[in-house]
Amino acid sequence: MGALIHKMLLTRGRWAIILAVGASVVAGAIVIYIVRLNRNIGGERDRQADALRVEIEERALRSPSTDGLTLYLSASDVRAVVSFQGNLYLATSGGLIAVDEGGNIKRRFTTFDGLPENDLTALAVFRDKLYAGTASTGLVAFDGRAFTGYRFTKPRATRVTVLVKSESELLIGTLDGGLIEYDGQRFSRRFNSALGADFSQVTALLPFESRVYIGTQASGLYIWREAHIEHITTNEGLPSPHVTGLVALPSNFSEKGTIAVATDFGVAGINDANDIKSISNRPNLTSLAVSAGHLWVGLFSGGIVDLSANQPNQLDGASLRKPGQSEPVGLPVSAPATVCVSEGKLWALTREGAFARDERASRPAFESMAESLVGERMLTAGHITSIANDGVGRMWVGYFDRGIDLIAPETNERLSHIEDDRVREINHLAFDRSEDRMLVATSRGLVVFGNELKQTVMTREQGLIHDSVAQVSLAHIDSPLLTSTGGPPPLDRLRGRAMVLATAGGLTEVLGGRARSITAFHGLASNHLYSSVFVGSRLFVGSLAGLAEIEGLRVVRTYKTSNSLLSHDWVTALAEADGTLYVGTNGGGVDALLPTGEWINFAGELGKFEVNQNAMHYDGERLYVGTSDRGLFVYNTRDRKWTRISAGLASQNVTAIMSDDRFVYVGTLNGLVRIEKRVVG
Amino acid sequence: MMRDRKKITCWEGWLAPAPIRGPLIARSVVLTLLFLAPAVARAQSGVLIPSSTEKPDPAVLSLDEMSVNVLIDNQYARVRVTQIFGNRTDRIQEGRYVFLIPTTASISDFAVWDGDIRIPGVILEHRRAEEIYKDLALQLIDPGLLSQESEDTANTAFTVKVAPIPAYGTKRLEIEYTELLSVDNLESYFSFPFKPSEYGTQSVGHLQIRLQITSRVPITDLNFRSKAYSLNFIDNSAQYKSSTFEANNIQLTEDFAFSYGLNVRGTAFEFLAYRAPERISADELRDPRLAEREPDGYFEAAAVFNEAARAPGITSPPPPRSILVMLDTSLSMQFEKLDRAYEATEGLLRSLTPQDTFNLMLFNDDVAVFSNTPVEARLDQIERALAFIKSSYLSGGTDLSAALDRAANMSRAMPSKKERSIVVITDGNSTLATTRTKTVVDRFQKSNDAGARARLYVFGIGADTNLRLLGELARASRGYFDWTRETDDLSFKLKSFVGKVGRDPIDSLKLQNAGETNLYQVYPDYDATAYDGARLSVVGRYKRPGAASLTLTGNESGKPIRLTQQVTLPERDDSHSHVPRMWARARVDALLRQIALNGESKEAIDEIIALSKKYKFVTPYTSFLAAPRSLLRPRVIRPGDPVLKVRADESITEVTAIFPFGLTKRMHYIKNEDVWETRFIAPREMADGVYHCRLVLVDRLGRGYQEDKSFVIDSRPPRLQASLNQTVAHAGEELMVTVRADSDTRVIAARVFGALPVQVVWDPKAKANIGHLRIPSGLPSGNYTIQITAEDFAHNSSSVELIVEVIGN
Repeated sequence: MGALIHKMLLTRGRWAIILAVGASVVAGAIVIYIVRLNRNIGGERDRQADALRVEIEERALRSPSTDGLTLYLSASDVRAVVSFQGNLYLATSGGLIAVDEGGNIKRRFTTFDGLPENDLTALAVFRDKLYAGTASTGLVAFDGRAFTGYRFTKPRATRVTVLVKSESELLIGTLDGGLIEYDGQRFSRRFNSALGADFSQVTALLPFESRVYIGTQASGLYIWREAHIEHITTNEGLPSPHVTGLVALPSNFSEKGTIAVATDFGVAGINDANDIKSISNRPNLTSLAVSAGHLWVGLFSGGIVDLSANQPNQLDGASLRKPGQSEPVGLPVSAPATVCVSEGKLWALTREGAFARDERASRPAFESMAESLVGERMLTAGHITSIANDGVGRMWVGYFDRGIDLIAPETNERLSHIEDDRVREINHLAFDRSEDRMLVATSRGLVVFGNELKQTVMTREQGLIHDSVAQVSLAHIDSPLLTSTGGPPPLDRLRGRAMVLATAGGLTEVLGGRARSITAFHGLASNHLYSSVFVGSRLFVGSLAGLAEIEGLRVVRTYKTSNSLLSHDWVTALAEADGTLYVGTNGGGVDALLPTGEWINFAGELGKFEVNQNAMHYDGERLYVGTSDRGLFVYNTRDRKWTRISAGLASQNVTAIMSDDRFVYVGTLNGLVRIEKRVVG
Repeated sequence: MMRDRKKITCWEGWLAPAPIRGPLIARSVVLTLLFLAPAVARAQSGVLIPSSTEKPDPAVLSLDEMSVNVLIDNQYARVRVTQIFGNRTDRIQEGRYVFLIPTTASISDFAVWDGDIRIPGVILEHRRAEEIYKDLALQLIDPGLLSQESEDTANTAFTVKVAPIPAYGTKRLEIEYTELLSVDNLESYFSFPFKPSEYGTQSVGHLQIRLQITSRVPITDLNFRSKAYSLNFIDNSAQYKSSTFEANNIQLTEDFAFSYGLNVRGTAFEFLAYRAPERISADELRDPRLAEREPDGYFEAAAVFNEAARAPGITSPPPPRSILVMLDTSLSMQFEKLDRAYEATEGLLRSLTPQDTFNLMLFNDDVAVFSNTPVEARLDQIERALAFIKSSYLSGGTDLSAALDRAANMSRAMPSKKERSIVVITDGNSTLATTRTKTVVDRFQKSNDAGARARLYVFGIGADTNLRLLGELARASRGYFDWTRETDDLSFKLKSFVGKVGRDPIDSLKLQNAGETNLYQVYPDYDATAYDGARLSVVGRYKRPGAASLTLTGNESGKPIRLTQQVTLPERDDSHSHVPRMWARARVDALLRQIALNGESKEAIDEIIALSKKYKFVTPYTSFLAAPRSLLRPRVIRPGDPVLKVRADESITEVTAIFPFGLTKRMHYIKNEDVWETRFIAPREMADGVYHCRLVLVDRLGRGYQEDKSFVIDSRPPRLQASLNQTVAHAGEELMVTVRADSDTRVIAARVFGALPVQVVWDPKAKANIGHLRIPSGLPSGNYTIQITAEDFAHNSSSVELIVEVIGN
């Protein structure tokens, strides 16, 4: 019995221990759970706070030293207009323009005045300041005297597309960082951090009552309503996922909804319940505006159209496009037009200037505002790809997709503009002094301009390996023929210098009217060639996959990162200076190949960067290197020192360089700067 | 890693690479989009790609059932594929169906089912196809029919837009193609392309394969190249084989491929005939030319030559040969064509032995000759000749006539060990001097007949090969002609071609019917040439049923060949239904040849169109109706071309491109090229990958059309990691090369001095690309470089080198 009691006591004790341990384990688990829960809640709170937070770099913008610099911009492309402190302000491709009521330009603000760039995209007035959106450097504020710059670093947002003032905030739509709000003190992202607000490319904004309508580049329309996000796509009836304009509909459109949504494939009305009705299926719309009860759309193909004219029965595209139908007069026929309303005027903003008319005016015609923006411009466009001087002192400026301007440098007068099917997309210009002709490398072949600008075209039909010619170089007059392989030179050598074309399909040599080509099959590192240069009898060719050395039209050596000290395989620009080959690369900066065969890397001194295609030039003393984001590097080959020029440039993206005795001409993504050599290091 | 994929591009979904992050201009991307041009695809057969994705997605559209019926009737293969796809979603889906057939095959039927209604594809003459398209476009109806790509796209891909596919419903698709299987060395080869390609491995819920082979001559057991489909044979006799395969939830990782031998002791003669009341379809009733019933019968008389009484697959060494190789180095031969032409030249030269003599001529608008005198085909001379090609350049157009004249003269200087051969490797697109087929052929015949005659062996390279001209040139010298597209793996064709060069053919072959005129329209209608181990087919028609005595005559090296057979021309026999189609194809080829030589005639064109419609095959005068809006597609693009191009039909008056990075650009119409074009820059932040671009097109009535396209930015050459299974090897030993490469790598090759390059292909077990490279047995001791080259779909290329120490024998 005693043994039994003893056993029971032992059993009880064991149970008590087990229970105590179990209770402890459960308690511990609960504690751990609570701790983790708190941590998760805290983490989520932090995440939400993080999502709301916007980090910026704010700085006062001051005018740089512009001694010896002259800026040439094309400001005819007008993107926005607002009234501020008694003047009209235009956001243009060439800076901020202040205009008086008569349309006269009162003041131009550019990078010379401290603007971070000249390419402005949007304007809004908020709390006594004028805010301007830029194409790549964020937001700029102007108080009438000084500029303040705001760069958004988190989220990274560089390209502002739309600025709209709501009751209490400035709404900032960007193409790479979504929607940001500014209350005058602080930037935040309340809308973009809401559940379901997964947009980043904002193209249109409309605050309406307690809602905010947000149009996007490729994902339709978002509606912020009472702290919730609703998403409207093509599945719900939107004509296209690309929203281009938003406006509150006038009362005569009430049966179509409360808000009009313009897309690139038509206009739809949306009501408070998000029901969608088609207003127009006209394609290629850029914008929407309501003026005097009429609903206007801007057309990408040029002009603006009053949709009310067909309301309510004939709003289809076909009827709108009937031949002979009148459209507002006074507007450029083919320049894309953005329509907007400002200061009681209906505006049409185009690449060929700004046009306006009173909203209730009886005259339908538009009048040009700030006419001199177009009339006095020297440059047709902003994106310059090549510059060259010809034999009679004219400066040729080639554009990315706007042909060529011929300019008299002394008077800054544009002598002529050449743009046709062939001469539109310019890659490179080279003047052949021995033949007194300009060689123009284009994406559609080589165009040779002779006397009186007579054109001769060389394409695949004439023996080029590829029509897309990136660059053309000329052999030295006394250099051996590329194709000679010993023996006496053929007679046709006397008929001109060998011309070498770097193309997207290989290398073509043209001599005596005959074209011969080699490709990757023959040993080039790649068929995609970007640049070439003669160094004595040797030809060097830069390609996507390395640098080739060529003699007698045979590849004798290929330099790559794997077999040499070349910094990057993608070679974009080449220049020769006193026997040394300078090699610009896409991402590795600049290298040099000495006549001894040694390589020098400048990355330690300059860092690694992207050299733009054929943006290298040697003027006999200095090597100029155009970069995609660091402005211009200058290397003095005598004292072997690098300097960097960035302040005062039209853009930090330097795409073309040319020099004469006094000046260096620096073409950029958005304009041209002339620099006096005395101020260059 | 690289998967072994056929080199095709796919319309929409893959736009090859281009550009390009980095410097400004270079950063731009070129897309080329075609409108009326048919679609191209880089994909395995029978893929249905949901419109919402870039690749097949079984979670959206799954391949539930697939049946493949293969019937090979005396070398004529008819392959019928039925696929049922299931919509796994609660939404209506639409997709794009891509089917890739062997390049030697032609589509004979296609149908998509809309519920219970079967909607067949139709063959129409070009002009009519365009008219119908315009009508449908005006009514805003998407024709949604089948398209066969061609032109410069170089592959036989069919695509069709399939819509709507109901929620949780199914969509049934049928496609049929035919292929005449060639015979070489008494062996034949068949392959159905299941293997993963652009869109990765496809799985099927239920797969059924049915294979039937009938043959008048005995055939050997099938030698399967694939292990994944283990057939269950119901019958496996020498003249009839029937087998099936069924499996559930199977991954389609390998092609269904096999070869077999024609087991004849000597030269054999076969005869097939077809005579049955013709079935006239409702569509044909509308056309009086098609509605008329033809009572006459069709026949095929074929000979399988085995004069040497060999077993299948056994070859005899060639006699000593004197060969002049002509390689076209004109501009039209650039890029892949030049690569393939070099590959063919290298394959030919490396097949030579020191007892052979050769010379090499490069021709374009000029001629460059490797050696002033013919040289012995020693290894060092072959390497010199290959280096000579590499050190050449491309230039101008092609003066084929002048080059052939020169070749005829040069061939006379070659030692006549047995007979002289001129091998021409070209696309045949003569652009300079004489370009008329008849004139070029007559001029060559005259040059060739001026002295000791050479036989012309022509290997055409490129989808745009001038088949008529090159075929006629070979025929005029009683030579041989074959061709390949630049994107094909040419190893099989090249082996067959090279095996014939310098060998005596069986010549002057013709079919005779003893004293009767009962047979008519018999093709080929000229003295044919064949080689021992091959099969020659003669097709024709007969008026009256009854007995006939057919004789095939010819000669081999002066020895006469005469095959006679008593046959019955049946009153009624519909057991070989492919014979009328074979005859129709031969008749059309003869008419096309007549047109090439003598110019077009209305009668010939009308007959070609009528036969094409009746038997459903594409000719230069007919096509499947294309549906332009749904077939809008990009073509391969390459870094450095900062241009977007779109080809639209003539009703389009505006084209606008909306790029994913916020750029909208209006396109310019380039009249002389009939394309819309613009240039653009991709932001530097854009990483390599797939992006979407929208096109808004407006026609002259103001109606808009929008298309969502995608393109790939690929600015980086393939990254390679390579290794050898051993770094020291004996001459004659085989090395295994293992290569790991980026997933977009299109082709990898490994080469070593003195040997043909080998393809390095994806091995799913090794999860790497594997190649087997044999060190040439005669290689002296020393260190040799093994060069491994890779190219991606953007035509970016890269290479790595490995060193191997070779111990000579």
